[in-house]
Parts: sequence; structure tokens; C-alpha cells
Amino acid sequence: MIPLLTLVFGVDMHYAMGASLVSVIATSSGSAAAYVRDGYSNVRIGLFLEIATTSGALVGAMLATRAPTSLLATILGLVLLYTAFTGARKEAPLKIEPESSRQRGFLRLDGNMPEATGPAPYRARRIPLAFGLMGVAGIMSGLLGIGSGAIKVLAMDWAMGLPFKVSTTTSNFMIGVTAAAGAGIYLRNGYIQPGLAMPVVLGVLAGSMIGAKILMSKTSPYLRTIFRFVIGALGMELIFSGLKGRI
Amino acid sequence: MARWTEAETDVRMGRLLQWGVVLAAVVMGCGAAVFLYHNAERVPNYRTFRDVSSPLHSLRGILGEARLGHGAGLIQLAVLLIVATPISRVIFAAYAFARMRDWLYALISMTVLSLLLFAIVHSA
Repeated sequence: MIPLLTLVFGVDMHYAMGASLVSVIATSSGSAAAYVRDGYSNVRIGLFLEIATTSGALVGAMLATRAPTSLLATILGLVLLYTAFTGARKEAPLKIEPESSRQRGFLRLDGNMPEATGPAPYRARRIPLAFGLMGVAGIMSGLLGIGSGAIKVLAMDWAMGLPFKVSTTTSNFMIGVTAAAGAGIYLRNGYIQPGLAMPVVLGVLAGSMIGAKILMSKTSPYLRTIFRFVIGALGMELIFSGLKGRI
Repeated sequence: MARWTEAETDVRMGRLLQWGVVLAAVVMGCGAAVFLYHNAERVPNYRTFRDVSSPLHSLRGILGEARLGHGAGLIQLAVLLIVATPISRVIFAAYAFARMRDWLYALISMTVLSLLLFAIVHSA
């Protein structure tokens, strides 16, 4: 969304970040009900990791008020390239349970995956690594006004070894809380302009309602590939514009 | 007081968030109608960032503007409602974990909540 607003409509990066942050919260909260009903999202894991993401978002939002926009645009471009790159990954097969799965650990970061064959237990691994990655995700969210869902999924999917459905739905759940941490600072500094936030948020809400109905069952891999190329191209454009100081 | 199961809690939480967003969308719609009615002829300039102080940048200012029925104030009020949904989710989680006698996670929820409140107080 930010590249669309800045590169296509010529909106200042700050206003685009403000509108984006609000719409990120709206989509996260709006779709939470549907995700929660499936029973995939893990509230305990989400809340624990939110300590890292909200702290990160606070730091990121404070940095955003000081950093030059060209630097922000370049960083956003890199994040978009990363997102386009990781979009290629497929749903990983469920990992075999570690032997220590009998003991739940102090934080009880585990759960059961509702499968057709019955509940499949899972348990989070490498918790400090995931916690650190979540801190990075939070900083990016506060710094750029994005949800940084791709980094969140990386932390839960790759670092913690959670099932793909658990990590995507839990990350969607966490995005809203993370973004809310940066929202106060954005508002105070005038990043959230009513004339811009209004059409963006209404559009995103309408789009997510229609989109959820159409794309509920499956997304075509063809469409996804096109989307990845678009994201990648926008990322490159942002990096070049940022490095040239045009943004 | 009956204990809630984790699944029940999750469903209640999801519903809370959804209603928050619906409420925000309604307020946003009203604000949009008023805003567009008054600003139909003006072309906004968002190309350059102007660091000006405005009542629309603080909680009290927004509430004042919204009470007067100003379009921009109503839109910012809707923004505040949207920001409030995840915060209320964390409050709800703290309450729900306390009901489930899960003190560790009640504490973790309170930690996240205090970080969010710090962000608001710090920026105000």
C-alpha cells in the first residue's frame, strides 16, 4: 500500500505510513474473528511474542520520527523484496515432535492443531531466536507503518517450527497489537491525515470483506506469482527512489 | 463464576474485535459523508509533509472535534476506535487468563498492555 500511495499517487511517505498503519490494524482486527473460529491461532504464543513486537514497534516509531524518508523508503524496498522472495516457499510438512515434548516447559508454548485425523500436538522450539526476530518485526512495523507479517511468519514458522496454519493465523492476530503500539506516536506527529486515512481504511475494509468471500477456498498459484513479481518490482523501485533521494 | 475454556475465550475475543471494527467503520462512514460534503471542491495536497500542530493529533482534540460533528474529527475518532480494538483484546486476554487461573499469562498480558499504555502516554 505504501508504494502505491507514494510511487503512484505521489503522497508523502509519512502520510502513507500513517494511513497504512491504521489499515493494518483494521484488517487484523476485522479478520481475527474468522481466524479464531478455525482454532488454528495460538493466543498464548501470540501474547508472549507480543512483548517483543510491541517493544520493537515503540522503538521503531520513535526512530521513524527522526529518520529521513529516503532511508525509510530504501528499508521498505528491502522488506518488500524479502516478502516477494519468501512468498515462494511452500507449506512445510509438520515437523516430528522432539523427544522432550512430554514436558511442557515453563511458558507452555504448545498447542493442538485441529486436523481431519484428530488433534495434532505441536510445540515451539528456539524461543529466544523467535523472540529476537519478533523484536525486529516490531521495529520494522513501527519504523515503516507496516504489519511485517512476513517476518512474523519467519519467526514462528522457521524459528519455532510451528505448523504453517498456526503461524500465519497467529501472526495475523499479533499484527494489530504491534501496530497499535506505534499508532499513538504516528498520530501525535501528524502522520495520520483524516482525508487520506478515510478512503484507505474504508477501501481496505471493503476489500477484505469481498476478498475473504472470493478467495476463501484457495488462491491460484498463478495469481500469487504475479503478485510476487509486482511486490518485488515495487521494492526495487522504492530502493532506487530512496537511494537517489527522490522520496 | 464458571471457568471459560480456551476455545470459548477465543470465540468471544474474535467477536469483540469484529464489533469494534464494525463500529469504527460506521463512525468512519459518517465522518466521510460530512468530510466530503464540506470538502468536495478542494483538492488535498498530501505530496509534502507539513509538521503543523493540529487538534486532530491528540486524544482530547479529536474528541472535541468529533463532538462538534466535524468530518475530520469523526474520521480520527474512527481511527482511535480501530486502534482501540487490539488494545481491548489484550485487556480481554488479561481478564480471561485470570478467570482461567492462568496467572503467568495474565501477567504476560498485563506486560503487553502496559507497553501499549506507555506508547499512548508517551506520545500524549
